[in-house]
Amino acid sequence: MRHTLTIFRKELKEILRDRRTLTVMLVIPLLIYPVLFAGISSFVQGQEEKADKEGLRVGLADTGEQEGFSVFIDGIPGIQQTLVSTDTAAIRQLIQGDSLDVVFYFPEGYTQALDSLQATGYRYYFTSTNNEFKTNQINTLSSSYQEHLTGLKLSELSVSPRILQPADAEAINLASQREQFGSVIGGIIPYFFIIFCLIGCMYPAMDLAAGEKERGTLETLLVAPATRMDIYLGKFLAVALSGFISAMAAIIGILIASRIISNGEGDMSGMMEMLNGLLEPLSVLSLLGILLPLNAFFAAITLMISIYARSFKEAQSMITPLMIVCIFPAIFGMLPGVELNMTTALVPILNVSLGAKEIIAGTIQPGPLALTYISLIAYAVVALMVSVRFFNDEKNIMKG
Amino acid sequence: MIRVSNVSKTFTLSRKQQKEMGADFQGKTVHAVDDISFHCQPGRIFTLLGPNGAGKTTTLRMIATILKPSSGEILVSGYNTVSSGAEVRRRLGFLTGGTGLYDRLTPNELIDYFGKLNSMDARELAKRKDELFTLLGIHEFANRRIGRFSTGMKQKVSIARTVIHDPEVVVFDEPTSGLDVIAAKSIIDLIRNSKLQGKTVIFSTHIMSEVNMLSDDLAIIHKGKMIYNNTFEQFKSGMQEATLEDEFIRIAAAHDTINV
Repeated sequence: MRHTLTIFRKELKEILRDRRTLTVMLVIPLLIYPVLFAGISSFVQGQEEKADKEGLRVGLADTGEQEGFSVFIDGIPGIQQTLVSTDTAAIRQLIQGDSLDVVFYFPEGYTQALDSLQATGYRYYFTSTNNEFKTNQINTLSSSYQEHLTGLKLSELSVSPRILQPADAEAINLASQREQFGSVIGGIIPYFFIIFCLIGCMYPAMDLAAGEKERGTLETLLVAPATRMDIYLGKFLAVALSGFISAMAAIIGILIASRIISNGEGDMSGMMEMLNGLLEPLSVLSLLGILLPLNAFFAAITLMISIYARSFKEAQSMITPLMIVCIFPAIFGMLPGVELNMTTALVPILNVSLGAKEIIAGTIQPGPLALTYISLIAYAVVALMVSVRFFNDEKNIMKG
Repeated sequence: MIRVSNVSKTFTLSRKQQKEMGADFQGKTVHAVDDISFHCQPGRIFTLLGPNGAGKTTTLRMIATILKPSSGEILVSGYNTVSSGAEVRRRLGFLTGGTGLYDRLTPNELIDYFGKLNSMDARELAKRKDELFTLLGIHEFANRRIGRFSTGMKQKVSIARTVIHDPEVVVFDEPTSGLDVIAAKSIIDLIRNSKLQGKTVIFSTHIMSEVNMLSDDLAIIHKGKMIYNNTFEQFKSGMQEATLEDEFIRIAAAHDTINV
């Protein structure tokens, strides 16, 4: 046991000194989401600010029929109106040259047709590729004009606007904020744990077995008085810890990123409620209970492949497909309608994805959860046993 | 002391390896080492001479407990390599031509690591490390990462690692291969000093000048079989050819003729 610890410490020291491993294990998972989300969020914010600052520049084609609309928008703040020519090509140029955001075109006879309730209509020219916020403002403007017209017609007929919506409906979602939030972000967190736990195990595993074989250092370790089990366990623990750190870094990264998205404003109560719920000892224990066996499972499998491989490169080419195999059940668990039951609890990775989601949302059932624990521990133990056997096999140790 | 008794080692080949052996090859196994016995004594240098692929490395790896014999028995300082592997390793130093050092550690850290794995207590380890670093001239680069060292510097650290726990038995597997004259000299000195300190020394080589310089006892191993085993004095007095090379080739050829 003392040797295991000595080996574990030394492996950890080496991992921490390897810039490549450290980048993949810690820096990327921690920074990728905050950077990505901060980028997206600052771009969106920029667009919104631009839309607000410029206001909506509305052109009215001078057909002589624009009077009613002009009066309607006159009272709306942030709208500047200009009269423009009725020529379609000229209108197109104004929009595409970004001189105006929208041009409304009311055809000849529009006002009269409106008064006599005959079929008529208007066009508005805009470009949706410009700024999403402006596009929304333009569509809203048009529909509120329509509502305005409806209101006018109804009051001419002395009919209450209630005729169009006799009853109001109020939707009340009984899911707690934690449940709602959990079903969204709860699916994402285990997914990232799974992916980054595997990535965090991969590099150290390749380095600590295949890499050591390639560099000829494994032989020097094998002739030290430590037993093979000591050596294996020391390496296994180092690989597992690095996977765990990597996964935690990714989760912390996501939490930072979601803060960035909400940007301090907006309704954070669901998120806070979920976090508070997660920090309850029982939730933390339940989550660790499914995440740690998965962690051990990944460490054992990556190490096993690495022990089998002749070289670092061969280990790399064998571990990459594993990554793809593991992503599928993780993604499957994020799909709506897939739930943790007595069958899905037996599928490795999928059960982690589903179980963690329900623990985060607070909807977990004891039966499937217990089965998830049992099956995950069983998978981890089997992977560990096979992996140890590989390490004890002379053929694998002497390869390369 | 090392006692090797009727040891054989067979490797089972994969299908791919069987193909690589050529069309004449039959069966699924190769005998890397075939029923060899010898005995190395403290204070003497035992040389294992043989061409590449003769089975030298396999034999030394079995002594060092890295591989298990398929049959036969090896005792190192009275301990069985299979049943008491850890006891054997505690008393054994192993050095190969490839230095096999951790690039991201410093010599200080590396030697501490192997000292701890040998269960040395901190004070004993520090003292022994200081002695070895002085002897080998490692102090000036003791706290720099090994990755950027020259081969000569690495070789020194490698020597310190091999003998940090003051082993009774030292195994050298072609220790000078790939080294320049100066680095090779430090290995030759180490082998000689180990002998003077009363350690049991076994070393494998295919370089005749080293055989001549160092051997007290000589065994020639060829195609997995031991074809000569006696003192080096006896070998020299019984030589039928003028040089060691020619004598070695003569003995190997004679063995091939008998077996064909």
